[in-house]
Amino acid sequence: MSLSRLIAVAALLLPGIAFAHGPTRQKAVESVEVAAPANAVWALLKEWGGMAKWHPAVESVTVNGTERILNLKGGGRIVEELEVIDEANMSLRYRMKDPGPLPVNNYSAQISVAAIGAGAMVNWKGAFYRAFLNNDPPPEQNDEAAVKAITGIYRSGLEGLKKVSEGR
Amino acid sequence: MRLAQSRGVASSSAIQLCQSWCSARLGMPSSKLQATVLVCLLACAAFVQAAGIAVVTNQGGDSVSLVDLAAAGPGPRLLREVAVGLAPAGVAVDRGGYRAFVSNAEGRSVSVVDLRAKVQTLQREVGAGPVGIAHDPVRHRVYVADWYRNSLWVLADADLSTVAELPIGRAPAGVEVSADGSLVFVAERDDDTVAVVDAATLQVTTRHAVGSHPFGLRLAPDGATLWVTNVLSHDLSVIDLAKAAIATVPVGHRPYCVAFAAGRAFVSNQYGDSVSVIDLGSLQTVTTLPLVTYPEGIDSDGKTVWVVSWMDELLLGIDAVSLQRTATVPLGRNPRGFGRFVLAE
Repeated sequence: MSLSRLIAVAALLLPGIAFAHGPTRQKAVESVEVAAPANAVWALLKEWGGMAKWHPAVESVTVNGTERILNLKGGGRIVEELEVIDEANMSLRYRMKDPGPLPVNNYSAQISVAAIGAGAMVNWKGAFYRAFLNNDPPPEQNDEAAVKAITGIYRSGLEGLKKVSEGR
Repeated sequence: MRLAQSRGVASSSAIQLCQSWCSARLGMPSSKLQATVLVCLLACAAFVQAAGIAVVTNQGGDSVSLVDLAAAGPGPRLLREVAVGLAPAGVAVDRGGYRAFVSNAEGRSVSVVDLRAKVQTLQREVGAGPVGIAHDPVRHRVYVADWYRNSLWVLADADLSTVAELPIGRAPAGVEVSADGSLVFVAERDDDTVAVVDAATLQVTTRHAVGSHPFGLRLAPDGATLWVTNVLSHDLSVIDLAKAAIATVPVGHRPYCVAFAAGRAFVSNQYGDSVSVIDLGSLQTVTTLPLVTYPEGIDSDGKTVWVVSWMDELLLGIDAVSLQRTATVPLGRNPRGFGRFVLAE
């Protein structure tokens, strides 16, 4: 077992280490305009177990109260915890308890909808650290890899949300 | 006296000089007196207006933003974004030297930023993961917590040369120094403790057990209590240093740092997107202000509490008494401001 895999396994077993991270947090911010009423987009988004309806990478979702398991197409699963649902501002705040195959740790995010005329703007903003806990990370676990992975998830997810909301 | 200079050197002694110059002129003929007093009052007002300067580390921009906090005139505004090392996080301002010390977390170095010239004047390699940083004007030292080496660096402030490297707890984060320079406090994040270091002997003399994942820490204005943010237990440990007694105050989700003004403590709650306001005397929560997303660095000039929003990339000013927002200044990328980043005039 490689060292980084060992650390990843250890991170799951030892709660203290699971919250360990380097000193530099990364950010991903993406948005999309949707030609559909904001309320309709929000209805889709706020359904905590509904991500498989609009995210192309998600096969199915298992919900257990405020926790959800995203079962990914092609295997792998991500576990997330809902922190805040703000109906008035049409936004959700949540964090990852287990990033699964994603090269990140301590991930938290906010997704929100705002009305723009007859349409909507969806904003997805995430904060996370690279997977590797120490200095000198290998390329697949460095800051760039973390940002690339999350940005990819946001872009494909927002495109999916747009398609479904617009009835395409 | 030029305004540019007045902002740089404003101090109580300069105001006294100004006032004595004015009163010496009272013996002049009345026609000249009025004009002279008017000029004098305007010059004195230039000193009084200067609220200070904020030095905020932009971790994603490899720079610090220098912000003029003056309340009057054009209002708080960005003066300059100054390049430093890679991924700066921590900052400690030095009033006497009119400079700031900055820890570059990925650059593995510490920078000195001259606030008059508004440039980086020195950058020196320090350890593997310099993050928490504090300045001691008494012994002329800079203390830097090394996240990866689990040590506390002691540097000479003149040239950042190493005086000592002292082993400390795991993943050390925030650093604070007592006003007389005799004690240094370090949050030992992965040990859930705060170490107290005797500055003369550089020995750890006490450890206090605090909440889960202590990160930021600061002494209350009277120096009697040390306030520590515990990121994972979502609370503060308020340590009475003389009695070694600890009170726990619940705050919002994932608190980052604490600042003080108007008899209150202000705590930035990163995931809570809020600032908790706590009465210093009673330790009761006055209110929780919903604010910007991912508020992190927090400091005060005595009148205004300044909060850094990491996600929104803004510096927000809140009046310490009314709790109203008074100013918003754009910052660089992924700003943090971890430490004492306000140099109050």
